[in-house]
Amino acid sequence: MTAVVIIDALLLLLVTATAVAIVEVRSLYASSILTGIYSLLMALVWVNMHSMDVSFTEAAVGGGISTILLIGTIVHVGREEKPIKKRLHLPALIFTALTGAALIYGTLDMPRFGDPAAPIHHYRVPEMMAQTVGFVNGTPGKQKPPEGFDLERYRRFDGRVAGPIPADPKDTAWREKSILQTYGLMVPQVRAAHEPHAEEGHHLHPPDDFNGHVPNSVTSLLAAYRGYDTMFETTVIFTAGVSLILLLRRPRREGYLQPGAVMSDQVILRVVTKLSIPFILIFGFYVITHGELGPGGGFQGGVVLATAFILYALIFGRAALYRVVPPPVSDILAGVGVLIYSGTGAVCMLLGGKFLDYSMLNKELPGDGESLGMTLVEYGVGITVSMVMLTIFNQLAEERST
Amino acid sequence: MLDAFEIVPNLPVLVVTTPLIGGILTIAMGRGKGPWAWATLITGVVFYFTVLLMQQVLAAKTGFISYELGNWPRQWGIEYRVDALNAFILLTVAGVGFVTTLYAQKSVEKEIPQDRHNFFYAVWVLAICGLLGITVTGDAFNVYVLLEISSLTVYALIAMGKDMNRQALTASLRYLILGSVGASFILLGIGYLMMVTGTLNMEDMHDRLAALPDIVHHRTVLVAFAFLLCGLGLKMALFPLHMWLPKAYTYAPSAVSALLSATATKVGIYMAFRFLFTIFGVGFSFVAMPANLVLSVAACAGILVTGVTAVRQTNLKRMLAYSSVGQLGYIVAGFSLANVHGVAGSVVHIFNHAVMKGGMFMAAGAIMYRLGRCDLRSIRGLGKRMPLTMAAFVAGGLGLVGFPLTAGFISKWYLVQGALEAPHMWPVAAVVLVGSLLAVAYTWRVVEAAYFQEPEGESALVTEAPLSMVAPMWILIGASVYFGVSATFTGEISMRAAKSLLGGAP
Repeated sequence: MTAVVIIDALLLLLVTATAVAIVEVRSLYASSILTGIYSLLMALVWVNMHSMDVSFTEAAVGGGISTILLIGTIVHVGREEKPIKKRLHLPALIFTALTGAALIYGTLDMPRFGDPAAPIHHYRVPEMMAQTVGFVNGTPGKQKPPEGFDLERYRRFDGRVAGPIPADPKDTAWREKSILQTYGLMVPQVRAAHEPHAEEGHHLHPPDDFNGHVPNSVTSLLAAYRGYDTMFETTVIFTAGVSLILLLRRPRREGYLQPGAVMSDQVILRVVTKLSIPFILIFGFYVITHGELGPGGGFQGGVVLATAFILYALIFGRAALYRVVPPPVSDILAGVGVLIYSGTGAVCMLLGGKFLDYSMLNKELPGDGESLGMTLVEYGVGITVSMVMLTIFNQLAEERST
Repeated sequence: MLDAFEIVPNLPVLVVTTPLIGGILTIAMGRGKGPWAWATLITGVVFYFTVLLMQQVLAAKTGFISYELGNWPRQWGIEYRVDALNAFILLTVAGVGFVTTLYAQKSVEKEIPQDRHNFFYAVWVLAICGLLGITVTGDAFNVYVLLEISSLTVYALIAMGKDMNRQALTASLRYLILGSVGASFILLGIGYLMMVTGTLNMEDMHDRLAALPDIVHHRTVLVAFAFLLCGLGLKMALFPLHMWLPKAYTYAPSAVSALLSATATKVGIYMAFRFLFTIFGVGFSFVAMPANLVLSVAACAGILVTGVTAVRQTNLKRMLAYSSVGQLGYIVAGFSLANVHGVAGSVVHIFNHAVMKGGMFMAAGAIMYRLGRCDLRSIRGLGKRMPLTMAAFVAGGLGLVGFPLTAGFISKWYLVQGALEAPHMWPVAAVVLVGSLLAVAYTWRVVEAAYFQEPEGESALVTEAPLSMVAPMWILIGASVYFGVSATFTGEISMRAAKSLLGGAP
């Protein structure tokens, strides 16, 4: 039993306890805080699994902003659950038990956690991790393979080098072969991508898809390979904001501004807030700009930016926030973010490439074009996410004062 | 800059990104008729694109068009893959979307507060974008992302019936909860499949699943299959998972009911096609697994139960909603037969039902527009006061019955043929016939009230609905009659789609 397993067991125990508490507790306020705790615990579980980006998102979205929004909702619906007689709903219990049993039953034939021979690790993924997808197929518009690179060998490699999957999943000979071939093939490339090259004082780009700008493979996955999905995830956020405005916003003639309680007479809160906001903003922008270096990206950075504004509104009142970001501005910016993303895709298409083929943005150095495109879309995501979060917060706070 | 750009090779992506960008810009179209006119323009352009795309697919030697987004090879990136099946569904969704947008103007003016028409039409266009996006893609996870967009927008659109009736809010919330449960099942299913195959591309997934030894006993695959079936059942309102549908369609704004009845659940069925036929394959879904039994029993029970329920309704929209669940039953019963005629019947009925039911909901909306309600009592004698609207309703009703020379007849012809061809499936044919009798019963109740009873109260004073509502209504009803008389195009496309589905990957 390793330390990781012990920590995981402890965390999962806490997660379960929190989940039960969320259901059991009567006070909605307490259950909102508990959902925040639940998310933070899950964030730790993700850390334990080495998925930092997921963890960051969980902490920022689950632990941070959704707790604020839940509490905002409580202001409208009241702090306490309606007292109803608890009775056993048998069909619901059976259905839930069956679903749970099915979930566990399904795990029985899953590859073990972290098994390097699992399909998700060796099928198509090594190229993704080394960011050499573009020239694997020698796709036009992407990077040329580096000198001495055995393209034919790469093309032949499609995750099935070790032969068909054997009948016995525990066939150790096949597993070893598979792991060896997968990683044996990768090693020089991984090394090439990670060793800094220096030549006459210039930074020489390693020969990969993004010219070495994306050490965090999660970012290349989300912003480039599956960037189209991310565009629509951003649209989901935007749609949520628009739907909320459609359903809840009161007619403009009644005015946006219904100032709520202000805490600006609290000196400590005021000073601490003023001191922290610049750092929160800088951190938010850092996370958006450098998602390719470490965990994070547009989503997480956008949420961090939004918390700076929300904190400002909580302490100095929404009247002060509306002077900084008037609601029409946040409405427009929310749309602008998605338009930046889809616009980047459209520009690539208008330049003669496929939609979202960033390499079109710089035909001399396709890798730099890809980096530029990814940075643009990350900012698009960040703008939309932060502004929609702000809109939702404003909407909830506004209704409160009626 | 534009010299390198051509529309035709980019059609698959233009079909989705045009309504995406257009939908967002709708908000900037100000007050008055601007948002509506813009939404009409966008949906019209998209409809034109789907027509072009259909031509391209029919001309393609391979039978399908592939578009790799971002120019990444399909195994790493996302691939759009359009064959006869999804080109046909795209055409249906975009066509009905365009016509309902034309229709929406007057109805929305009356039912939605003036100051949020721009947001309403933005969400409207995004809903169409989501539905088209699900249909065009060849990537399992991309389906889920677009499903989020279409679901979220549809919840909001239904809830906008709140100014007519507060029940719209609870109807929307109920749909939100059940829809989210369904979507979670779909996501879990996709996740489990990815864990087993290591890929998200549908065709790739199919190949990798087929390469698995002893897939029938692979527990992860089995659970994924069960989860997907549950989730898709909820999304396509398969009996008995249809509980969210009647109220949602009844209380949604009239134009929204027309749009949803014609498109939303149809796209759910399209997803079922892709998951059951393209990813798992006929051999797994219908031979190794008892999906045909489960689906056909549920579908037949749905046809009978909701048929009886529909006969007992007094609210026209609610009657149509129950009838929709029954009609979806025909579609599901058709493809659960897993033979060419059955699947072709399903595919052609997706289109036929979309135009018929869309037209009928438009007629119900026109009555709402004039009378403010649409129950059997208030439509008494309306056959004389609103002749065009009532005639459209009756023509649509005849289509639901399966009367010869209507589109419904074509669908039922294929379905019955398929049921008789499949071994031991003749009860499906019997249920199709009984369901038609039930449709006669509920259509007759409307005919009786509208044509054989004297008007009373304010309904004696109403006049025909405005042309901008009647014309789109008759475009759809006219289409249902046209494709009932000349079913060459729809029939051929459906047969082609059915053959490619049954032959494995598209």
